[in-house]
Amino acid sequence: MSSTMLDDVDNNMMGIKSISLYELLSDVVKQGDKTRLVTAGPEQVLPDLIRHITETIPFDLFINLKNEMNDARNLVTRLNWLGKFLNDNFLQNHTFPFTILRICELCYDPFKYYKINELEKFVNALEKCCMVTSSWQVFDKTHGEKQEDDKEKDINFIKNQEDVSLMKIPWMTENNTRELAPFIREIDSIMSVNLGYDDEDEEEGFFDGDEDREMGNKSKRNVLLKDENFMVEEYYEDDCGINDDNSDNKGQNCQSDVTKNNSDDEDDDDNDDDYREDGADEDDEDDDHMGSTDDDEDDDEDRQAGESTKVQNFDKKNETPRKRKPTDLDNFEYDESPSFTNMDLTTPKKYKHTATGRFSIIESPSSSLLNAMDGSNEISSSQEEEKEDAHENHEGRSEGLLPGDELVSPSMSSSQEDKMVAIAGITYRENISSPLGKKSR
Amino acid sequence: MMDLDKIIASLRDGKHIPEETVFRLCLNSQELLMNEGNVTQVDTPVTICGDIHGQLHDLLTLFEKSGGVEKTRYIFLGDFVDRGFYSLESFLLLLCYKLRYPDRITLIRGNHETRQITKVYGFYDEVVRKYGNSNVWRYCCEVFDYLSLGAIINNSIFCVHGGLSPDMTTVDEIRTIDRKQEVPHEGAMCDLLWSDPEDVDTWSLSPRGAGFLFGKREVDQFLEKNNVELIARAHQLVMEGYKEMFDGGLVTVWSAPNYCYRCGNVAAVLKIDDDLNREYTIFEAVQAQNEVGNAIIPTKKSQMDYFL
Repeated sequence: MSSTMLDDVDNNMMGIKSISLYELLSDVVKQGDKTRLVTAGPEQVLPDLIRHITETIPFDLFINLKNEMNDARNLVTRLNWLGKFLNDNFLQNHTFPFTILRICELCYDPFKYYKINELEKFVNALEKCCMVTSSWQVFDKTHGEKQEDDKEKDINFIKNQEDVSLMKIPWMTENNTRELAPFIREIDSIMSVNLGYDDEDEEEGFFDGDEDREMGNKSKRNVLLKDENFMVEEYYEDDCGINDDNSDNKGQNCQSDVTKNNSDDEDDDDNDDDYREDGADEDDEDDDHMGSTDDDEDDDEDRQAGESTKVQNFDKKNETPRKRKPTDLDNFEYDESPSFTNMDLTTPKKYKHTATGRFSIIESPSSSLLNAMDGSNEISSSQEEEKEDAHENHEGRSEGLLPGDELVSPSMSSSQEDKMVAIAGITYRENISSPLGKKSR
Repeated sequence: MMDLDKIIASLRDGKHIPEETVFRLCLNSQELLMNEGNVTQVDTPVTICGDIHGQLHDLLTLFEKSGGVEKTRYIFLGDFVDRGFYSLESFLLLLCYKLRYPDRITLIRGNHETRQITKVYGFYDEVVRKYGNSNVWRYCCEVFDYLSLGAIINNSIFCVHGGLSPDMTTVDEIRTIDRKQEVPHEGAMCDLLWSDPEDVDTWSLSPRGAGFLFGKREVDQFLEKNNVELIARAHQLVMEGYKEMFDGGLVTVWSAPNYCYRCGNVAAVLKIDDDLNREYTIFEAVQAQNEVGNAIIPTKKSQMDYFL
């Protein structure tokens, strides 16, 4: 390679008169080595480059002037003007124009792009590239890249963890945490307004101002959302009204999500009147279905139980963060809450009530497993019922997402657009790290 | 702060671009665009491309099939955003190419490059979805205001997004418009972005509610008056990718294959060589993928219930 370069230098150097400029342009254009520009600096590069543009290119390279082609003189004037522009705006300021790479490419080998008599097109192109005012900020750039890489590393680190709910977030500094405090308070107020249903249990643990935990929740949901293949456009169109329809289920299902992984279901306390009512309603339905049950259903039941075993195993091993996500955190909160002891206080009647109520929650797979293990004779709901409830649960779970979604952006209202934003899963990190974003807050 | 080649690579993968980077891109783009006239001069050979509408993967196909930005000059006739799922990436990719190769890419404003339209047809929502706020959308809209209204190739082919305006029948008149503004609801600037050619005897009301319908007579007049031989425009879906009208005096070029992921059309770009010969390149849609490699399939409504 060095020999060919020598040849070039000896022969024509692409017509470039200055050896240093030739070598520099060659490195920048051919090797893509942009650092050469940085090390050389504008003071070394631009004078030679301007001379090349204003003298060599029009007089020695293109044939327009030699052939006295029309407007050739005019083109030289334009090139001189460009040279002056570069000198005044960049060389004097010790900077490169941000388009310097393209300028180098055009000047290094004009005939890669233009025929030998197309000086005018070359001047047009060079004018478009040179007529800028912003400079080429290479130092900022490398710094920014480094930060980017660090961020990427952090995110990958998080992604590789199986359960992130309790993990310290590597990029959270003390400062960040402090800055977040008002934001958390804001969320608190939003949440208390927006959630009409009874969820005091949830709120206790959920929004106690523990930023780390919320952030954990956040990033985990992003992992979840990445997996989804969904269309947001449609989402917009038909979500009016459905929320209302489901609001009852919502409350109930959130409760069931909360409780379903709890080995002890008797954690109902006095806050939960709604929940028990729902439970009773469903209990009635169950009775109806019991009448129409036949033996085949037992098989289904077994199969369901088997499936739910799987699901529960997943839960335990944390293998599918996607599936367990909405319930996981709730469960985690619940472990902390000192509600178990209620069982001791429960009257026999009440106890029975909650037991049936439990069945209404059961349609979540993992808790129906509990029933199967109990060998409980309550189990006999038809498959249809199972499906229906599974569906409800499904929706309920995703409903359960929404309150959390409000966490994503401080500027959010409860409008549908904002929910979408949340679902799109922009990491909170990006929100807070962007100075521009801060500006708007 | 900015390594354009790196940003371009990220954009081609549909990756997220930090808000601050977008801001810088938009600022620098404005610097380039404000130097251009309302009707910017473009040299041959050049490839004319029609609507993109956020179909990033098809935009990549377009570059692939038509030679790539390193080897080819391009004019994009507007409507980079809305409707497709990658409006932001598509627009930013074009901006990045323009910043990296200012002499290779010319961008013209389409009727979707406005605040009002993008709020309704998807770009705004896409940005809010991807960033959690609308800042990036605002930066982009600022760039929209600087986009040229038309281009003229070798003083012989007039390029515009929509069509002609009854108010301004010469290119020089169009050059006098103060374009740095949101596209108005009426007037020449609006007409250039909204009008459609049609078999009508004279200027007629457009069913779009903006712009006009114009016929062969208007086209012939314009061609003669301005001494150009072709009007190249986009703005209307053409199942075959391109459609010449009025004895070849006007051509519609459409570059969004399988428009909205469901129209089933092919797309085309028009290459103009040094002798002003026209050569059309047809290309078809590719299966779009999201950032984790799942295919984007136009959804049925039922799929959405899960997220409600």
